[in-house]
Amino acid sequence: MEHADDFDAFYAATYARLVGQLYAVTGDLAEAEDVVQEAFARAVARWPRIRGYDLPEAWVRRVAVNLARQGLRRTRRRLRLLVRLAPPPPDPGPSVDGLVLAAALRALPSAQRQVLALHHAAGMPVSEIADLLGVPVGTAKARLARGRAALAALLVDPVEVDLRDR
Amino acid sequence: MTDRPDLDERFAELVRQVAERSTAPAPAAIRRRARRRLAGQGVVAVLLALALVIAGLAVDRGLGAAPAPAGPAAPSTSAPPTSLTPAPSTSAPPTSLLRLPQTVMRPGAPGSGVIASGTSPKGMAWRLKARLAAGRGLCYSLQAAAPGKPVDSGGSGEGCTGPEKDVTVSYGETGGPGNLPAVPEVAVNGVVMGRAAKVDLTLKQQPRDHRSPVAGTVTVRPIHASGFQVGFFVTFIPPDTWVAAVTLYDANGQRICGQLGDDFKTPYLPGATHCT
Repeated sequence: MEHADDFDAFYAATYARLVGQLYAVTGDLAEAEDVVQEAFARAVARWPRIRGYDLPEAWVRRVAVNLARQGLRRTRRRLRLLVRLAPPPPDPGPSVDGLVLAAALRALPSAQRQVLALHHAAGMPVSEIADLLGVPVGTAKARLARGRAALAALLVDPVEVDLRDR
Repeated sequence: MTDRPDLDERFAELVRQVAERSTAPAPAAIRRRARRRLAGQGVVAVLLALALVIAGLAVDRGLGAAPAPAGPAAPSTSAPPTSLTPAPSTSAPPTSLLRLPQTVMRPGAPGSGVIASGTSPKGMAWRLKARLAAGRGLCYSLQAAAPGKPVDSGGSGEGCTGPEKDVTVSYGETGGPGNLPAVPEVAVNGVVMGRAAKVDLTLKQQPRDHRSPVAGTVTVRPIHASGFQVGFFVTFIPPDTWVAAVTLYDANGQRICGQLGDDFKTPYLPGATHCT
């Protein structure tokens, strides 16, 4: 019972944040929620072990990112073997700034988007990202640099626009 | 210029906004999902065991051995496929993939039927049954007993596919748990649901050295439940590459649709055919 309470508290404290981070990774809210829910479903089955980890949230995020990368959700949706836990929530409708960032992220290659999101949204160091994605650290760094450059081109600050217009 | 602190802030804001608008399902729903997942793993385990038995028998009997073509060829979908129903043999243990279900199951009237039964090369008696269960869809169970023991004395496992309505043919994926790299195994699974009477799954093994491919066609006709669902689920762990094609036929033997997956070396299999 204590384990169940632990899990419920952990779930309540981390679910929304992980969905936000996975949204940055996938660019799709429904997919982000799906992979996070699946990751939590896997976590609850192993909770007696995972609760002893220093960062159980990192385990769930790692599983969710792997699921998103492997495209398991897409395949399984096709299979239609999993019943959705709930109807898809409405679009989050972020602010104008959020919309710009979300749109810019979707315009990036997924490899760059993943590294950017994991680094900036999840706060993971490059070495950890490289380990998670199974690529050399240099590759992760290069993707991060290219992604930042691409984002810089896409994220034109409205203030700068105004100044140029004048 | 978008510098790093600015990006950190923008990402943090995006995460915060999405998090605020995302509603978490109740923890109980996550637990239900975990249970469904475990049930799904049960299906895979059951059918994996069956596939190993069938694969072992196929290898033993050298079914379908043929000279090597240049590459994997698309299987014919017009001619009746060769069944893997074992040929008479004096040395191999008996196995039967039944041509017709023993029990016709109807929606709302759960029942069960034996799909296949036999004895493994090591003398293990086994029996695969399917049944329709209200709210759980098509359920498979594999019962197996120790060598020399009657199958009824053995243990069994069961898993269900869940209720569906459409006719969908999909190739599944393989892989380890989500936090591990995909295991170097190839799994093919397919699910056919809807008003289909017959499914042919053609599998062709293409060894890495491109010599002596072994081809065989399994006619999977596990269940005929008009207006409800028909299913099969096949999983193989071949040592090399497999080519597979799935063809669906309606109750009159007319082809509904088919699909060829020509390289199963990838961790998961792309493509799906949807028939309505």
